[in-house]
Amino acid sequence: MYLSLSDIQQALKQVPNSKLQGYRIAVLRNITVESIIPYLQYYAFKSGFEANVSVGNYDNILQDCHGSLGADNKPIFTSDTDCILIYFKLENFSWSLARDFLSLSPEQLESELERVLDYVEQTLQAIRKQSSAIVLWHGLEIPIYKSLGILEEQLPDSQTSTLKRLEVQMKDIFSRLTNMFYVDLTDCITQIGINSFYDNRFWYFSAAPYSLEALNVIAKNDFKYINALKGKNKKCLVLDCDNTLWGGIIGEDGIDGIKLSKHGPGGGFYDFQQELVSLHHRGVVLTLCSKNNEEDVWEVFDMHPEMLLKREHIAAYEINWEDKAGNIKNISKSLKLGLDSFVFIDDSPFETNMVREFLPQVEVILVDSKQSFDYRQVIGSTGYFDSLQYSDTDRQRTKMYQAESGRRKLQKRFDCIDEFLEKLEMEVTVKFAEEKSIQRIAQLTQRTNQFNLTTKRYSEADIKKFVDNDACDVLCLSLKDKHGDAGIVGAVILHFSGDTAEIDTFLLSCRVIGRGIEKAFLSCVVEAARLRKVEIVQGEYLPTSKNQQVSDFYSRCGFDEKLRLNIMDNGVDAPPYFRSVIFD
Amino acid sequence: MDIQEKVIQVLVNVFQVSPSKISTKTTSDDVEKWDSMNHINMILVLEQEFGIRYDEEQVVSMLSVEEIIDVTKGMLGLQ
Repeated sequence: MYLSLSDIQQALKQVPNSKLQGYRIAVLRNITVESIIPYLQYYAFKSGFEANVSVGNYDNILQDCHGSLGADNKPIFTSDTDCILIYFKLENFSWSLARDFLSLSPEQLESELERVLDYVEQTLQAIRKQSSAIVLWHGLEIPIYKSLGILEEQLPDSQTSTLKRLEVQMKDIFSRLTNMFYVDLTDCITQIGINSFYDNRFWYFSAAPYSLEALNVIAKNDFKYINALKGKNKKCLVLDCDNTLWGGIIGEDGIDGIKLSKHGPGGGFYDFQQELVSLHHRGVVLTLCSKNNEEDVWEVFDMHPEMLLKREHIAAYEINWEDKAGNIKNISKSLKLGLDSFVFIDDSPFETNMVREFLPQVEVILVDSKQSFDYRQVIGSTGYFDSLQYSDTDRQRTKMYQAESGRRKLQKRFDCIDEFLEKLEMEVTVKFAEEKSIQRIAQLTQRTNQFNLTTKRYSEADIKKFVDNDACDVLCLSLKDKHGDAGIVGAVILHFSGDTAEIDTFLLSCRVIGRGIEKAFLSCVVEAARLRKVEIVQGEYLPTSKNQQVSDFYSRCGFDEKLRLNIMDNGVDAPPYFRSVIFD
Repeated sequence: MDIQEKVIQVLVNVFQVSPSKISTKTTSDDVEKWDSMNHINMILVLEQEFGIRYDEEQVVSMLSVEEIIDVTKGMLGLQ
C-alpha cells in the first residue's frame, strides 16, 4: 500500500469529528528530510492530532539543542514541544566510520566511536534541560556495501560487528532515560526493501537519502511510539467469526465443514488465531461480534480440535443477529473501554462499512477470506496494539475485563440503520425460476440452514419438477448493491391448492441476512399469490437447531398464529430503504 | 486533465501560489518558494502524479514549466 502525497492532501482535507489536539513536533537532523512533513501530518491526523512541525537547521543537531534559531527566528523546540525526532545519518557525522572504515587505525577507531557516543549523550542532556518531550533517535543504518563483504559477519572487529556494538552502546544510553528511544531503522528498511528505501538521486546535491516510500514507513513507525506514549494505541480487538476465525460458515458448513487446520486448508486461519492468542498474552482484549447462533460458535470453540482461541481468551461477546455497530457499542459499554481504542476485523464489506459509518472512532480492517494466508500479516503489520510497556497486568487483562463485562446484555440499537441500508443502494429482483437458475436454487436448498423456514432439501431434478408443475411456483431472488452483484441469494417454493398458497420453502443465503431482504421477498411472494387469485398465504416453520432466528418470521410480517395471511385484506410491504424491488 | 494542467496543479500545490502565477513561461526564478528543497518535493510529487521516474540529468534541467512539460511528455512517450 503506497500512500501518495495527493492521497495525504485529500485525507487532511476531511473535517474531523471533533477538534484535533495540537501536537508540536521538532525535527533535528544532519540530512535533508523535509519531505517527511506531510507524512508526519498524516499519521498525526490519523491519531487525532493536528501536527505542527518545525525543522531544525541542516546538520546542526547539537547547536539546535543549545538554542539556535530556526528559519522563522524562533527556537526549534521549547518546553511546549511534544516530540523531538532526530534523524542522524552516520555518513554525515563520521565519514570514516561509515565509509572509510578500513583505513582507521585502532586508536582512530576508538576515538570515533567515543565521539559518536559523546554526541548522543550531549544532545540528549541538552534536550532534557529544556524539554520533557518524547525523543526518537533514528538509529545507525548498518552499511549495505560492507567493507569486507561476506567476511564482515565473521570478524569480531569488522565494520558491521563494530557498528552493531556501537548500536548496543547507544541503546544502553537510551534505556537509562525516560521517554527517549532509539528507533532501529532496520525494521523500516526490511519492510520495503533496501532498493525502495533509498533514492540516491537527491543524495549528492541535496543530502536527501530516503525515498518517499521510506519516509512514509519511517513516519508511520514514529507514530507507533507516539501513539503508545500518548495512550492512543488500541486496546480491544473485535473479531468476526465466520471466514475470519475459520474458513466457511459454521451455521451452514457445520463443525466438520469449516476450514481450520495447521496444515492444509484453513492454515491461514490457524496461523491468524495463533497471532490472536499472542495478542491476548500481550494484553490486548479480544472480543467476538458475530451473526450466528451463539451455541454454534461455542461449539467450535469447545469442540474443534484445531481451535487455538479458547473461551478464556474472550473478554466479551455479542453473538446474535443484530447489527454489528450496535453490538460493538454494547461491547464497549460492557467493558467500559472507549470505542477509539477498538479495532474491528471482518471479511464482509457490508459489516465493515456499516461500522465505519456508525462508529468512525473504531479502526476497521476488512480481510478477504480468499486470502486467509495473509491474515496474520494484516494484523501483524498494523502496530495498532504496540505499547512500550509489558507487565503482569497486561497478561491478566482479559480476566479483569471478563469480570467487568459479566453477563450484562445491553439492547440499545441504532435508530438510523435504515439510513445506512439505504446508502447500500440495494436492488432486489425476484423472478420465476428458469432453466439456468435451477442448479443454484437446488444448491441453496441443500446448503442453507439459518434463514431457512422449513429446511427441505431438494435436488435439481426436484426443483425442475416444481418448475414444470402448474400448481407450483418457484421464485428466486437476486441482489445487487453498490458493492456488486451477489447473484441469486434467495428462493421460495409455493404450492397452490384451492384458495391457498402454501410456502413450502422460504430461504435466504446467510451472506445477506440482516438487511430486511426477507420482507422484500415476502412482498413479492404475496404478489405471486395474487397472480394466482388465491386468498390465503400459508406459512410453515419447521424448527431445527440452526434456524431459531426465523421462528417468528411470519408473525413479524403480520401472519396470524396459524401462520396464515389473508391477502385480500393484507399485504406485506417491502422496507422503504431499497432502491428497487422488482418482481417480474 | 492534460499534462500541462496537471503540471501546473502540482506546482501550485508544492509552491503554494495561485494558479494565475504559473504559466508555461514560468521559471524557477519567478517563484519565491522554488528553492532546491522544494525542487525535490516538486520532482517527487510529479513522479507520483505521472507514475514515472526522472533521471539525474532531467531532475537538474527541469527548472521551467516548459521544460517540465517537455521532459514529462518525453517520459510518457507523447513526443
